[in-house]
Amino acid sequence: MTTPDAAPAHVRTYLDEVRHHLRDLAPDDRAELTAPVEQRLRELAGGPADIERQFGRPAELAAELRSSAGYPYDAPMPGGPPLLDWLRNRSDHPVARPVITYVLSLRPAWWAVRGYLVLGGVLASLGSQKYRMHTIGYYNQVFDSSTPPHGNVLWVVVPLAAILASIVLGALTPRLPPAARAAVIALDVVAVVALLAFPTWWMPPAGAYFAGLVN
Amino acid sequence: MGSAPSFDASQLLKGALDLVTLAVLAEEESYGYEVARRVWTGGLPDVREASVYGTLNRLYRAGLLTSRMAPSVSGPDRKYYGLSPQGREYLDHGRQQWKSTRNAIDQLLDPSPAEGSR
Repeated sequence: MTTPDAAPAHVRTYLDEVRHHLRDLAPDDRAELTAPVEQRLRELAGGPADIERQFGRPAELAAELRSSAGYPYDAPMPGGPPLLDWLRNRSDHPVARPVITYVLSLRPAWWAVRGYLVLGGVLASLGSQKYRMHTIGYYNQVFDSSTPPHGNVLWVVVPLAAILASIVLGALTPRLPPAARAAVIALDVVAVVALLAFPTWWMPPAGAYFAGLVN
Repeated sequence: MGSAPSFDASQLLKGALDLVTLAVLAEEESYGYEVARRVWTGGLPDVREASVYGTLNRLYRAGLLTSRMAPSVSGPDRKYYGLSPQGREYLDHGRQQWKSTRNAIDQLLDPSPAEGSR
């Protein structure tokens, strides 16, 4: 018996794309639905063309699995981000496919960064004098007013909670109603603005100094 | 003027695939690809493999199938499906429904001369 890691790269790429098209399903449901396909792809000899001859393009296979399993269709979000729509429309392009799949796979990392930045943005708006330092020091100063050895751990717990909440929100976003998803997009915009407007949060002090951001 | 559209049998197959899948598993428990292969060799080669996988998934979630994992020589463990008591009941009822529906449709599509002259 081979191990799950033994699948050839083109099989993994194909499966990743199928899973991407089923990303709105709960992880367990998605895994259950794609398991027999994975089994078959491991058994099929040949390359990507042979897989597509047997199963069609990843989007087609995902649509067939979804339809026959009775899951609702993952309709594109009306008024969604143009960039995401653009990427979705090209996700079956043979050249762009691996790149797009990789870029989309980085979204969980962005969700983590988003939580960190949005919390910083909120706190900076509450205490504008404190933002001119890098993030850890910033949160430490905001939350930890007590003296050692009885330090206040909020400066660690609150940012971690924000990161965790943002990751959970990111995972649930495709299942939210349109209005809530629009709110999440607004949150993304706030995080990008925070990233660009206050680089001293995330830039280490020395980097910020040399960039002329800190006197 | 364009030619008449050809009949699309896929809609018929979609409606029948639940019963066909259950009937295949009533003979013997099996895994996804083997079920698909038996559907093909049973005279329905146009049924898509992914449709069989999705149908098995849905019937299992509905409580009509049981499952167990068994080792495979060619990859991860395979999930073998069998009929649950509810699945057997569903199949029996479905068979009766299918026969009565099929008879009615046969009559409508190919009426006998006596009926046609009525």
